[in-house]
Amino acid sequence: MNFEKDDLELNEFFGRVALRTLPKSMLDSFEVELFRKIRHGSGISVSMLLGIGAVVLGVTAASWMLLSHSEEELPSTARTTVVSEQQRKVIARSPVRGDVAISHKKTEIASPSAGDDKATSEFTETHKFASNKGAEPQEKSIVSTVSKDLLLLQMLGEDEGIGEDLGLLDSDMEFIVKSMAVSNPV
Amino acid sequence: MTGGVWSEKSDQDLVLAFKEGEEAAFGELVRRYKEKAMQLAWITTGNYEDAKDAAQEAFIKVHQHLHRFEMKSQFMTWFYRILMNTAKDFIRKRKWKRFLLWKNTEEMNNYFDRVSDPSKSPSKDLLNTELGIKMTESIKKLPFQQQWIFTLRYLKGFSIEQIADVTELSEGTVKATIHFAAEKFKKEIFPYLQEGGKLK
Repeated sequence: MNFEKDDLELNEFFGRVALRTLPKSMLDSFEVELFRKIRHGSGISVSMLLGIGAVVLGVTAASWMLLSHSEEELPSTARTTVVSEQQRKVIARSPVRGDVAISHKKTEIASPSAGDDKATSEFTETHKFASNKGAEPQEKSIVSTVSKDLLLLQMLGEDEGIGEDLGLLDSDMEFIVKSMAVSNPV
Repeated sequence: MTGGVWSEKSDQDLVLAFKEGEEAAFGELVRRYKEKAMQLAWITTGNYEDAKDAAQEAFIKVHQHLHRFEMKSQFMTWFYRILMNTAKDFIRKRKWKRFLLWKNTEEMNNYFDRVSDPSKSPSKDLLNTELGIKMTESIKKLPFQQQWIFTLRYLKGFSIEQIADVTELSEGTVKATIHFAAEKFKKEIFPYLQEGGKLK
């Protein structure tokens, strides 16, 4: 290695070289922009952008989890309303919708004096559930939803996983299955 | 104090004045080093836009940390160390930045304003664009550290001691790095110089 020789040659060579000078306007704008950045911050950097992205994702995930959680705490009417949209599409195609509705209506008007313990029990539970919300229309809404769920379960052969597929909660499924026993004592 | 008075002060005086609350002293340091910073960053980044961003980022860091600068080394070498590290980070982050911001930058293919080809008329200062472009390409091909050390030495006229201070390397390492960079540079440039040229 002969550093001195290289150094001398290159110094001589680069003595004939000049770096490009930058236009004054560019240098002036450089200064203006620099002091603006110093005064007001340098704007959104890449790391900030990534940070913001991560925060947005985090908030979205947290919101989704909270919503999922709070959904479990909603009254059953609300829950069944959520899933009923999907079910309604199936029901709308069903030619037996009216029959089920009638069938369920019969259950609804059944009374404890009907003599069937199971049916009475189920009816009472249904009624109790609905009465938590207090008002009569809510009770009807529940019964109607149940009838749709019932139809769906009948159509799909009471597949064990159907409730999960439809986004139904375990308590919904339990409620629906019990209702099935009432409306279809078979 | 006016701008004219500041321009007569040494770097050290300006640093001291800034530490005493004179913001204008920093302005004078910016005026003094902005073009050099842009040129150096430009050689590293390869385009005006990125060079501007990297140089500005370096000045912002200087502004943030100048009050802690103990003046154990020259302000110039301290500043160039910050600039070098900023440019290094800048290159590392650039791909992501371009991807995220869809940022197009104007590539620069010649760093040199004047290059005299020693094989031609040595008495005349010929503007040799082809040689300038070739030199630019040769410098671009060097690894980051060699690029910086080579540039500081031959384009900015830094002493070995100053380069060692900027890069925080020993003088021996700086000399060895210059040697390796010089070998590569000469190998690239040689075909463009005639037999009578100095660099062979």
